[in-house]
Amino acid sequence: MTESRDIKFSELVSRRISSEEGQSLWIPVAQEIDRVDGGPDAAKKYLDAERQRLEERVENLLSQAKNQLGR
Amino acid sequence: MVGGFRIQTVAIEGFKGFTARQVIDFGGRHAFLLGKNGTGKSSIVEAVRWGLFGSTGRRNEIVANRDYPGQCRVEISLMRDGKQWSLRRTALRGVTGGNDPVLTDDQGKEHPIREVMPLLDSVDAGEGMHIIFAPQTGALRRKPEDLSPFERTILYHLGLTHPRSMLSQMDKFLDEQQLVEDSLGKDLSDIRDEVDRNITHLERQRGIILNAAPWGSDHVPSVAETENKVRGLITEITGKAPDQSLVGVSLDALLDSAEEALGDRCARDQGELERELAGIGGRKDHLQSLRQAMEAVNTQESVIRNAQSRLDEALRGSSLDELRQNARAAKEAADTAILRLRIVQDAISLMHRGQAESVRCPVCDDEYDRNSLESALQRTVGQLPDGSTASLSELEGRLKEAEGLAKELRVLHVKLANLTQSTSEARKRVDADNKIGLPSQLSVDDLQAIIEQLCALETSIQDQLDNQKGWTATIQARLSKMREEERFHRIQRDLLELGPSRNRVTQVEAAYQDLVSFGETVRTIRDTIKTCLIERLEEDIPAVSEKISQVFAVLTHHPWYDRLVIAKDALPKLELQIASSADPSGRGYLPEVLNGQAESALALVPYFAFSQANDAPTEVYLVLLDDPTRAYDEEHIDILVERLADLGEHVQLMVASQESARFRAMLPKYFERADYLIIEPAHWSHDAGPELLIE
Repeated sequence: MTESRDIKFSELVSRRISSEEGQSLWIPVAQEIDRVDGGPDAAKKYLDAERQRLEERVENLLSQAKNQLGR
Repeated sequence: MVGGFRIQTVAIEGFKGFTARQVIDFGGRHAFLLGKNGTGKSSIVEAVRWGLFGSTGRRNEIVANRDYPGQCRVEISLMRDGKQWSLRRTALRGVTGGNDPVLTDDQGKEHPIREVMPLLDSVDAGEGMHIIFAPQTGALRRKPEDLSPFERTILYHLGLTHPRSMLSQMDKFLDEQQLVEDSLGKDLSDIRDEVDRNITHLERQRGIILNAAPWGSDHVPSVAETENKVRGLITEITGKAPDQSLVGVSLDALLDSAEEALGDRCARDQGELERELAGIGGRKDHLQSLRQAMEAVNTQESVIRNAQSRLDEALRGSSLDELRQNARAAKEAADTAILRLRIVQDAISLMHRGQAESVRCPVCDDEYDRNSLESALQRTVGQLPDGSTASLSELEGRLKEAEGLAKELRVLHVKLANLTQSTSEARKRVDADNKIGLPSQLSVDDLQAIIEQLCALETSIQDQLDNQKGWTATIQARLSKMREEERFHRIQRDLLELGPSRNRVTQVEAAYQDLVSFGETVRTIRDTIKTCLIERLEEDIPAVSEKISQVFAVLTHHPWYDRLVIAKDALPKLELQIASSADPSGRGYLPEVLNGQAESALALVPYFAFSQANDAPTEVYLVLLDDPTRAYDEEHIDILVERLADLGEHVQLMVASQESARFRAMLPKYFERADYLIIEPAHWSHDAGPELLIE
């Protein structure tokens, strides 16, 4: 962590998280953040976009479920 | 490693009070802008700041001079490694702040400013004083907004700006994530509850039906079987097979049709019987009325006969008039007899008044012997009918009775006439609805016989009606069971339809779980970064504290507070506390305990502390201080100038201060004369702007 641009969040997570399940869940996200070019703002944008995708998926399925219920 | 830029010249035009273009030649040297407040020295500092950052640090400040005919522009000439660059910023009209910066190299080639000076548009222009320690490379575009300048400076020098910024962004992300999770979680919960509630309700309804299965056997009928049952029932009700219009219709519609057919059948069959019953009832009522009327007539006639008999008895063969005459005659005879008796008695009485032997008869006036006459009168009295009063009374009594009976008979006859009239009307009513063909002469017994016949007919029709109703009730019961079957099929269908909904909810749950897991992942990464950051800060903070404490002590010479401490329990936030090495408790205090001078000095501490760091490659290594000696006494100004001299070893200084005399006295002591300029705004004119005396 001496040079901000050298920080690898995936390595941080890898070192900190011992469980396989945790690593399988979190390392890919951290790797994605690592891959984002443009610093914390860009990382935030990546996270926002990823959440937006997941949120839209939930909303879409929720909407379908509501339609099925005739709401 | 590439060296930093140093400012060579600054050309200012149309910026604030610069109503004419002026070029200040710094030649890479330090510049001390001295003079009283309001002379324009701050405008030079702001022009440099605006030229570099596009902002003066004051929000919405209008920088363009309205009277200047040309464009508001600041052009800064920069030197690095013997090569001259130019950064020119031009204000767009009507827009506050700089825009359209153009950076050209020594060949006149334009470069995107971020490529060469990536930090220039990312660090805070600030107000009051400013310093730039910008890395040559790196991707920091924006500082974390929740950090103080003090924290930013420390973190930058520890190389931790990026993780701290990432931490801020992730905190922000996680706050937003929580809102999204809460909102979608509620929607999910609502829809899951609704589906589960519907399923539970339908299953309960189905259970109730199954507990008393309307089909009456273990075999649960199919929809087709129920439909066939309903069709069979329609046939039973109507007496014919369901018509073509019912082919392919829903079970519900079939049941509606069966109910309609049953309604029609009831209206037809039961209606007819009910109408017949109503007719019989009416006729029966009329006949009973007639019978009652006739009975009343008979009774009346009997009463009349009885009265007539008593009248006849009273009359004893005579008429009422004859009886009246007899009574009158008897009355007259009685009155005569009484009169005669009274006369004889009076005569006897008169005879008793005289003494003569002979007396004249008071009646005939003949002379009679007193004794003989008296005897004769006495005999006459004896011979007069004394029972004539009793006979008269008996006669008068009979007359009275006869007259009473005659009167009663008249009333009875009137009543009889009325009853006869009623009977006639009742008969008319009977004849009006008589379809049986009644004889003209009917006795009460005849009528009773007819009424009994009608009662028998009524009972028979009522029996038919009851049978009909019983049949209808049976059909309705069967229909009702078929309705239950239909409801059962509907519930089955609804449950089947809810299956996909439940599956969909399961999909939503899975998708929502993905969203939550994603948030947890980010939270874990955030926590990991935070832990690492805190560990790293805990490692580095003692040295930082030591370094800033030294600077603080030198700058302030504070009699008690001589240490700056970064509170460990607030990490990763860098919370600055003031402490005293003489205080055995080691307790830290907020900077508000300091006096004005010490607090001003405190703001400079990190810059002075880290200016000596030579491991940070910079693009423009400049300290830009506007009035740093605010609240300083002479001693501390001296200290500041001394420290600035140290700072000036590494960076280019541009310092504005109103402490002109003190600076002039101190600068030669700490700076080589060739290394700095003194710029003093002399006076300002509308046409030429500030007149700058440069030494």
